[in-house]
Amino acid sequence: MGPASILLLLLVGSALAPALGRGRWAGWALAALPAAGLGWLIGQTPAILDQGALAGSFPWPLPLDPDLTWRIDGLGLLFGGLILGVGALVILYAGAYLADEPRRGTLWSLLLLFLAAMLLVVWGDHGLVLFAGWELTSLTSFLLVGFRREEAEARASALQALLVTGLGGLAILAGFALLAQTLGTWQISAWLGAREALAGHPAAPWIMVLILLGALTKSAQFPFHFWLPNAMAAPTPVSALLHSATMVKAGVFLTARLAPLFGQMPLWSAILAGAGLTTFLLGAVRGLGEHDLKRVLAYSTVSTLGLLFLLLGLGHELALQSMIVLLIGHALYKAALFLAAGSVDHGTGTRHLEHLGGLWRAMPLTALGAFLAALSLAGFPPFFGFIGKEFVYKSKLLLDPLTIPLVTAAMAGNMLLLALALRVGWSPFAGAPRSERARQAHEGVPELWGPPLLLAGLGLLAGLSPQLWARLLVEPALTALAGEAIPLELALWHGFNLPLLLSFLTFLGGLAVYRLGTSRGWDLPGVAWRRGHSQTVYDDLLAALKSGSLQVTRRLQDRPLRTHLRALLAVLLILLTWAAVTTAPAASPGTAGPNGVPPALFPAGLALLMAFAGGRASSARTLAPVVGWLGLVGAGVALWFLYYGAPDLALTQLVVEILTLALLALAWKGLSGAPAPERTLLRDRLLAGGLGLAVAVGVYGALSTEGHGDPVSATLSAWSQPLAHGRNVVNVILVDFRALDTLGEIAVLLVVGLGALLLAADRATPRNDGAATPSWLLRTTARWLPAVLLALAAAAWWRGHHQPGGGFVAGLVAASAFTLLALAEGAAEARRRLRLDPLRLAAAGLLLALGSGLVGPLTGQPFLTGHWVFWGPLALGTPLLFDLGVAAVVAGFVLQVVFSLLEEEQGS
Amino acid sequence: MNAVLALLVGALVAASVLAFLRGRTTGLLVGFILLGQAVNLLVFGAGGLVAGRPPLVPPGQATPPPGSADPLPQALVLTAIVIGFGLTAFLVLLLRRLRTDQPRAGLDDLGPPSP
Repeated sequence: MGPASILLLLLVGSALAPALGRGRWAGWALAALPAAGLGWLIGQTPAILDQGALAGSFPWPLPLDPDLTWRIDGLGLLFGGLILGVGALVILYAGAYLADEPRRGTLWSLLLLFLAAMLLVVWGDHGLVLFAGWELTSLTSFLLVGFRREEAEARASALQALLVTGLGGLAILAGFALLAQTLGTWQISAWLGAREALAGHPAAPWIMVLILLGALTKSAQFPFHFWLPNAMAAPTPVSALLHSATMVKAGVFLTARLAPLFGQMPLWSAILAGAGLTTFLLGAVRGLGEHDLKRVLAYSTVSTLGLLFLLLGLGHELALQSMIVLLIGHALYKAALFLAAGSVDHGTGTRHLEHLGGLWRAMPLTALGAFLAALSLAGFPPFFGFIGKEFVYKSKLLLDPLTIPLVTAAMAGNMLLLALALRVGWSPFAGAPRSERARQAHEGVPELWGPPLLLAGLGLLAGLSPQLWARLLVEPALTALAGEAIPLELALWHGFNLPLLLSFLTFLGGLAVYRLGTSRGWDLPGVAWRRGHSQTVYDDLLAALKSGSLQVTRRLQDRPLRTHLRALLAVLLILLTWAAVTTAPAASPGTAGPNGVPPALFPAGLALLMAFAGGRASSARTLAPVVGWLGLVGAGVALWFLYYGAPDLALTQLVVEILTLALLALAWKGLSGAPAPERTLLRDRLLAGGLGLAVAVGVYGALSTEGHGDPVSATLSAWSQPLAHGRNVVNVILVDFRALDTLGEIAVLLVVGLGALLLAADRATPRNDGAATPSWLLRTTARWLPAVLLALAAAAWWRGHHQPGGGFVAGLVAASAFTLLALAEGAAEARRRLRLDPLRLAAAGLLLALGSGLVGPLTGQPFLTGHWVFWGPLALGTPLLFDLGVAAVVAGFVLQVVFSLLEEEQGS
Repeated sequence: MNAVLALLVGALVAASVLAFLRGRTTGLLVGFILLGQAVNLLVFGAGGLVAGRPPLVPPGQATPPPGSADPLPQALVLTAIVIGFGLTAFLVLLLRRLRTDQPRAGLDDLGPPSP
């Protein structure tokens, strides 16, 4: 087992979760996955403590320099433990919280995906691994905040969270790319030792600011703090996991991770301390004005995150120690409070603080959990939060010139946080019920009160055994953060000293704020803003972006379409003329150049015919002759291919021509009846003629140029039979040598099929009566010809590796079989005979092609490597399966188009 | 033959431009098909024109006979034909939809986004 297996476990769980029904034990089963990961991590702890870090790399089919490495050091241990531990509890809790929700499985699936993404962030040692995980957390957060997709507010909040954190993600990518460019490596652990190399570099401040932008947006720091309270639209378990315990701490993680690299830069400290202090105070003040339990918690989270950044910005040893201690304490009590808030919501149906109260009678266990967590948040002894706060005061007392303002600010903020703690952990439960709902409250199942109680209990346990936690979690994390071992003494009792006095004053102040707030209904002067300034700026920016894009589009595209077309073509003409004038002719006309081909009568006549037919097609007035002339051009092209040694192309072109003809015939009614063409202008004729001439000159020049070096085709031809076991080199190139390209191309076909579905989606539903009665001849032919065509298609696929044919041709021929059937008997009958939705057929084909390619990586070879088994004269290989997939995609896509055209025709 | 091919490609390009600029929406379809044929012929010819010798390995041998046609442009063009057909089909559907929604629209009526 290792990180890769844990990720795989979580992803498999994520894939299976939607299918897990409504059973009560599904939550336990899924929670076991992160719990297993946590178990592994705990088992590895001695090794991590011993060696400093575990490292390795994720398997990846393509060679990369360096590999996609992972590394678990003290910081990775701390965060990994948090993610997996809180993750397991939240998944368990979510099962009970959303017991009646039909999309519960989807929520689980997203939560597990999120956990995997978070692990990539904290364990990835390659900049791109970290970035990929980072973006994936933003995406899952978007989907989870917008989980109640029927609510407009949830959707808007989800979009806001995505835009703000997504913007930060892009900044991080830019910062990482610059850093990798500067230091010559993507490996994060290698970056950390390169402080001197980076110090004097002009790009260093840019890199730092870009990365901090990402960290501050993710962790909701001023001026980007506004998205986090809005993200409370998510179901409560999501808020507990993403928006309090883990994801919003990713910014803290990244900053801490890179502190050894940037920690000495004054700007680093200034930004972190400035943003952190502002957010710390702002969040606490704003929290006072809220009445929604979750929003109060969100602001208190914002505030605490600010304090963490402030400590990172101060950057000295004691500050970093306080940061880690505070971070652990916060993860425990804040997740507990969120979960308790969810239980309150679940038990009463409201989260409005003025409507709660007196719940301790009905929900004693939830009340106990919330109360314990709130005591830790408030910093009461003997909770871990108390140790954290003592440390914070101690660390600020060290900074001589700044001591008084910083300590004052910290005390003010802590008083407010204490008042917030009492609001969320005391007021809903104490006193008498303030509404009918609160009177009718009921305790939930154990999955609802257990997790918060467990987390809050851990906070108490940690406070009682601080040295154990210092050894196991705090010291290793500090070592990773500071780059050297820092011994640490954690204790509840340090004697009567200044921090203790400050703590005592904070209690008194916090209680005073709470009393004052309660007596005034929390309508305190200056705190009850409903809409923050940052939120307004966000709204204005978004509106400006939309109207600005519209303005630009209108300014650039305000003319008729043909004017834009003419402009494009004229530019093309100028470029081609320029190229023709500046490029010296390679061979004098008249002589057969190095690539010269002897002239021949048949193709020359063919060319003349095609040119003539093309001209007529472009100038015909009605649609019927156009179809005829186009068919003639196509037939000419097919014959041209046949003459010049390309039977595969000739076959494909011929079948495509027939299908195009069928398509145009089907769409006839919808296309004809268009307004008669205007008279062609002289300048359009000149433009067309000029372009034709320029292209001809360019093509002639290109064809007469001598090739450079050995053509790759010679190698491909030489490899075809010995390596790829195929005698048709063209087919071997398609399904083996360049199979990746082919895969992309059939994916495009599937997308076109989806487009066809969408274009027809909101039209009349097909009637089943097969409106047109086709001729007797067609109906009779349609009885036996499809079978023959299908046999031909199978033959084309089977022999395609050695003889002209192949998957593309096979798919087209198979499609024409069913097209014929559809024309004769109606689309409904053809669909019935096909037995499979065409798009499903295409999708299955794409999956088959992909699957055949995966045999390579499974046997340790690159993606799409061919594997063959020989059975007497019979050679069977994965490229044949790939070709079958190609055939299925082509057939499915063609039939999707044909059926939707036909159904429209018959339905209208 | 290079000159013939060059003139043929040029003529098809000219025809497709004319079709584009006729002002009818179906002109887009005609122009698109003709342009596709022109480009396919061009790419095919870029490998050199070899009459009557397809790149097939005869039974019992390891490589195609010397002087066979170049297989690489053929593979490129083969997928290009199918993709081109896919886009043609999509265009047909799009034009049909346009004809239903705006029965009298010509190319120039497809204006900028309305405010």
